[in-house]
Amino acid sequence: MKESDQPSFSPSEAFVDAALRESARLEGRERDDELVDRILTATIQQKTAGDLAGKRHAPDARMWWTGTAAVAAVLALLATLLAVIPFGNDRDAEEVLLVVRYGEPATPEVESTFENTPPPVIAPKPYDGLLDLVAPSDSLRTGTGFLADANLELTTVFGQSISKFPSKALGGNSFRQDSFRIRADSTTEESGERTYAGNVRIEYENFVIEAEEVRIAVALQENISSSGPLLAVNVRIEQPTEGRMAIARHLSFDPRNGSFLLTGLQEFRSPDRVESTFPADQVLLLGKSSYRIQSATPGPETVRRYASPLPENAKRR
Amino acid sequence: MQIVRINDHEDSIEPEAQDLDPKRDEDFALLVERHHRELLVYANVLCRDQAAASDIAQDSFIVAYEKVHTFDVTRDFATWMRGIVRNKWREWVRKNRRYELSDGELAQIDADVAAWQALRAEGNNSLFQALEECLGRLPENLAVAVHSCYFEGRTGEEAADVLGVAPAAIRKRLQRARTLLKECLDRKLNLSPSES
Repeated sequence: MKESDQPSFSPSEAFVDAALRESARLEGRERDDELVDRILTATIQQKTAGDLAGKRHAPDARMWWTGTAAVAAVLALLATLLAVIPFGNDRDAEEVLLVVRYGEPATPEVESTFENTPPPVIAPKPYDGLLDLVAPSDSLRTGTGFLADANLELTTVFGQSISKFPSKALGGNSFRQDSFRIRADSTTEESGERTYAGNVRIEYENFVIEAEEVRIAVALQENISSSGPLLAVNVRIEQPTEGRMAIARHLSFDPRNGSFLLTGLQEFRSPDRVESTFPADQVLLLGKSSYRIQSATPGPETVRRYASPLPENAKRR
Repeated sequence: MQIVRINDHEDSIEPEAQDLDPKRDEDFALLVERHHRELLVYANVLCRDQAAASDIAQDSFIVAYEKVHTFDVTRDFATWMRGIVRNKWREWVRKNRRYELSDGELAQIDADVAAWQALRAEGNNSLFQALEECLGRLPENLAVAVHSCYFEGRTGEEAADVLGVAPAAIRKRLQRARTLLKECLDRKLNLSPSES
């Protein structure tokens, strides 16, 4: 209903009208993310940035600098504390810092065009043993092939605001640090994994990810060859700066190059491409500035995963 | 540093409203989470303009944050905030040459919003949850009109076209629906959570 259509209401009718508009606007959500973010940015975060201190001490430059330095020192101390204090489940926004150290000299900044990156590969399974009932892409979720050859060590740090580690402390160039800001309805931790569930929202670099569930490896110094450090289910990922958007069943993060692998693709949009139907084995590799859609299985485009006893035409029926 | 509470769950343990001290940033963030929607509705009822209401709600929290040292913690934060929203609305009325509401109208709107804020602070259903339940109890012809105009964004004339009735009938149905919804919400206010 448009505002221009409004007749003059009684106060009680106006109250219901406003509540209805508000309810419709946020489609049943309890939180106006944008408004809350705007308020917190203009209040708490503004203060955190030292602006309020600056304003109050503006007349005296020396006092301003002293104040700013003091605030910065306190913030640095706070950030350090926050990075090491384990938080309970009553906070819902936090940062996750994934630090990956390479066993050998680091792959330089891979972000990339994917031109030289070998595609993720699922080992072909031609009729051997029991047949998978899941889509081929699901195998990727557990990292088969994706990180299998990586000799990597993963450190995960959780906190509400985390400073990145100085590079010297991590051993020169053989590492990557990726900081994710995560919000969710609930958080649980079990068996070396932290699970975020319900309206999960992740901000990372120029990506915004919304998912039903996200799991992050918690274990320190763990070899991550068996599974990716971040797995998401029922995902919508956006890159506003690149005008890209994709919807997929699963997403995993490649800590070697800061890119994402999406499987179970349902929709992909970019300025040059719009697709909403994909073969089950197609995957999307999404980097900061480039993307590639490709088959996860090597060889011919169509690989039959099962042997049907029916003739072709009977099967179609 | 961003300290944000995302969603309130029925089974989550929330600090009691009276335990929150807006002078502490963490508590202020929680209070923003807790009150922003109702205050947005409040501003919306006052100015009947969504964009202006959003600005008023935002500016009110900014003023509250800047003047938080004047807040008496023994007072009710929600009441204090509604006062700030009213002042911001009055500024807006003056700037935009809109009409003022009478004291009686203001008092009724204030009472409606206050009641829902109080109920919410006690850990009961929010206004929007109650509204959803009440919507489910509307007669179908009214519910369809509400859905078409509010949730699908149609004008009265467009909804009338789609539903094959006269525009006047749509207006009448919407009015009737709002009245029934208000009665339903009022009943929910007076019932214990388990009864609602």
